Amino acid sequence: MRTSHAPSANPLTRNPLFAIAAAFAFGIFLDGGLDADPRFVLFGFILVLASTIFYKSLLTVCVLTSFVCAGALVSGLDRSGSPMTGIAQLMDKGWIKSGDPVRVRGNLDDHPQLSVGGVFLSVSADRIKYKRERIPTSGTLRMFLATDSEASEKCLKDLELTVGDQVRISARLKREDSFLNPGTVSTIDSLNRRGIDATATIKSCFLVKKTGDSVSILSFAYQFREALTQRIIETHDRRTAGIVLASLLGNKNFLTKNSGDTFRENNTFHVLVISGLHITLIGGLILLAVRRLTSNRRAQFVFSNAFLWAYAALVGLQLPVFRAALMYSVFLLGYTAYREASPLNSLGASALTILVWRPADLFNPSFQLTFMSILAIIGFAFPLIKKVRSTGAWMPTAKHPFPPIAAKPVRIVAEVLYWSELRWSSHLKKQNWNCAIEKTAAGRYFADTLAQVWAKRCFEIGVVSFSVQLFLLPLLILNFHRFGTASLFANLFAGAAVVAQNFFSLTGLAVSLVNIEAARSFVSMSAGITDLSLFLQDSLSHHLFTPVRIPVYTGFFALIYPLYYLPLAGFVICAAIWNPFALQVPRKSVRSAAYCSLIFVAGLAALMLFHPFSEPAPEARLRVDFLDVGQGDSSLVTFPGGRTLLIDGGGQREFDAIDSEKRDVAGIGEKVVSEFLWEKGYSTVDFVLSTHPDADHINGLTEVLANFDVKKVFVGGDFTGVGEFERFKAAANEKGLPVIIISEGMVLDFGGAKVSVLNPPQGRIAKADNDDSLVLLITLNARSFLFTGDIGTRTEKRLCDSDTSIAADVVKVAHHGSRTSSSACFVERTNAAYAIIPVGKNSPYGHPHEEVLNGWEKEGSKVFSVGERGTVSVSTDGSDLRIEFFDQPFR
Amino acid sequence: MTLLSPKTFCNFTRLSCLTLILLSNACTADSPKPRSGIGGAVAGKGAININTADKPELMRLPGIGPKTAEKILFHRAEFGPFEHKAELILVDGFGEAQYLKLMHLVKTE
Repeated sequence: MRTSHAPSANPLTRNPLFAIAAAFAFGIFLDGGLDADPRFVLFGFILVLASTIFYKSLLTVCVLTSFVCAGALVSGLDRSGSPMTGIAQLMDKGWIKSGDPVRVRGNLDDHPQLSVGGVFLSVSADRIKYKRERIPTSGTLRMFLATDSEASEKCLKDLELTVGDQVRISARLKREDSFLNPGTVSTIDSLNRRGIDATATIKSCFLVKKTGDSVSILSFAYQFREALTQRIIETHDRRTAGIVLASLLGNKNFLTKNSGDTFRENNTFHVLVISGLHITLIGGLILLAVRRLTSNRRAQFVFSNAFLWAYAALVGLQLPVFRAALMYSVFLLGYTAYREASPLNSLGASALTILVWRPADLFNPSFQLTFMSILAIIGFAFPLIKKVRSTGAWMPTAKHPFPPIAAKPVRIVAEVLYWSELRWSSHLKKQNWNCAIEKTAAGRYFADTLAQVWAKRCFEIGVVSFSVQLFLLPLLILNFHRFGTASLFANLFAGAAVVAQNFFSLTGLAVSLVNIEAARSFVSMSAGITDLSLFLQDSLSHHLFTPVRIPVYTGFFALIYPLYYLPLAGFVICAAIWNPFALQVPRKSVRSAAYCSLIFVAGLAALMLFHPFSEPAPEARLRVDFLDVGQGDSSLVTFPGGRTLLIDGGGQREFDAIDSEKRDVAGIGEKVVSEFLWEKGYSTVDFVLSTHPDADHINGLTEVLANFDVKKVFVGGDFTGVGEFERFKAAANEKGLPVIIISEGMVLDFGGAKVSVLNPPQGRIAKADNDDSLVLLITLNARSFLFTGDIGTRTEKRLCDSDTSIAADVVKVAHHGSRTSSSACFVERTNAAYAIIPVGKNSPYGHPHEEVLNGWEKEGSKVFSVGERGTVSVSTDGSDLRIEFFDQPFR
Repeated sequence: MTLLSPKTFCNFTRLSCLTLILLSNACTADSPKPRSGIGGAVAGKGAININTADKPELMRLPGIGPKTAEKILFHRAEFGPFEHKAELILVDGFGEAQYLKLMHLVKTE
């Protein structure tokens, strides 16, 4: 039994709150993960048992286990109650159908947020009227009010909406998962995580009525924010304005797609988001500033919190921002209450506060990313830097009379970075003894030089950046399918550039009140910095380190992602135990444990990054997956032997996401098709084929070409002049891929399966219209699949009348089930068992048309709409035919 | 001279009739005559009540054909009467521009 009061050497018992928070989180994980996979329970049990190896104290084990149970209990209670109340519940239960019009009464949570072509309203509803019934309710609605016309703009200006106003709005509410494919992020989950019950697009300002005015203190702050937003838009070019507004005010609506992509490719997008890390950094800056004003810790606490919460309120107090600000306040409480506050403890306390309030947040990627990055910095990077610094800058003092014990290479690096001869001589002068100190030659050479100052800063930033990457690796791969090799460098100037740019922009705006001319130079400085930053980042990602997109493992192998944190935790604990000023030489076991865990970390990281065997095992079956891309077509053909062919990639969305100057919204190719392929484990698609250059077929392929390793590209013709095709061709050229034109009569062989091209006809130049779409007949022994693109009755008649057989077991119905196709003769000649219609759930064109469905069913084909059933997968070994659906997997 | 002698009474009546006729003319001169550009089909009798109108009545409005009229009727049956005429914009296929063209010709009660 320990009788001394020496601080425990065990870092976990030195930070009890952190250990408790970890135990609580683990309990939540067990409860939340229980439904997913019972293997996790076993995993958890083993962990608890393993912990008894470290904690000889039974009391510790009991306390931790009880918190694990508490976590599981709280999570269970939270999940049995509905995650959201009010409108979300009404819509999930089906009492209000998504897409139906309602009238809501509520108050505005926020000033209307400016965006391109309209404003966003955040309404906290208290009453709803649906189909003649009026009921009290609750919930947060995020609505977009379009102001395209002058009448609308005038109407909005006359309304003078501000935060707190009571409004009555008639709109169609939406809360549904639109793309039902494996890999696509569920819209409903995403809304739940952001604390939003439903979204809506208000078709006209006339549907909004203000029924009550309200003046609150917040309204002045928000009006100021929107006025500032307006000024920034007026005085800056679109690109710079987008970046300044995103990083300063949390308004991402004006970000251009090009800028967004540049930041994403370099893993520096977080500087554009008012995220937890952002709040923490600003909070840290505020704290540093406040510390200079007063040394009274209580005053520091009050002022820092006041400034930080004011900033958080100004940028809108969305859930992630609120969470980060709360964590900061709890963190600060620890700092001000105790002099020797352990930052890890404060972090634990903050995390515990959030998890007790919203246990489901443990599974929220936003929470995970914020928490992990802060943990990486204060739990690993800062202590490591501190230890290296104390090793390098060591001189005999009362606290550390003996030299540090460290390996020679470590000492050399530490002294090169931190040894200072000047400080040693001034320290020596104050003593009443003299001595010669032994330092490495390199350390003495670099002491007090400018090179040392730069090297020191680079080292510190490098360690911080590297630690964050290390801790976030599985999260980055699972959520963004990215790992930026350039990010160590990119983060250096992206962050600095954004700070400098915001400084110049704000100064420019302030100066513009006095002198417009002078203001212009500040604004152009800001624009210049933007250009420089984007140029440098583009060079990094396009010429030096190409960004790599990474697929994921699913099923059993998905365990490597949480498993990665075990050796990482081991390594971090060993690093924490390392104390260069310990009186004994560190135990061999600690050192070997450190090396061992480092090897495991590196090994698992390599597995995650290079993803060997992530692709599905090649079978002797031919498989076709018809994807749900809303309005559009996209099918993945997997040949026997494993090669893949992607026929069309969808692409039509509300905004034309491909236009780089438009809003930064992900296109279908990225959000649906690429996610599907990554979920399956592919980073290569052997062949890409575009049937015709319509936006809803080809736009997605342009993004797929950028995200995957493609071997060959097939098209029906060279359609220069068609914008969408030119972008597609440019993407292929950038990757150095040949674009091969195929036409009727060509037959390609893949592992036994034959692909025959039936259209466009040979002998003439193909046109860019629907009737010249590529038509393919894919055959494996006795079974065949017919892909028809968007052909109309004219081509169908030609195929009907021709000698080639068009009989197929599975037909992809042409043109999304429009009545301009699926003529009677075509339906009869194809004689299909299954007719698959790729069309969205609510097609704006009314597809599929009733008569088309009847036509196919009359001939005896089973008709399936991809929009209704989700991804439809048909596979064959040459004789059988198996069909499965996203909403009903094959048993 | 009395006020109510037969002569003054006749004069008074004539004067009042004249005044009334003049006044009524002035009133009818103020009421808006429908301009042929917008609602040639509407006979200027007054706005159409979109909550009680049937299909032929709705088709008299500018830009409303048989399909749109059916959609309005379906919307009314499914989601209840329109509480405000702007709610026409919520009908499938209806837009703000179309509404602006006929907002002066409809009412909800």
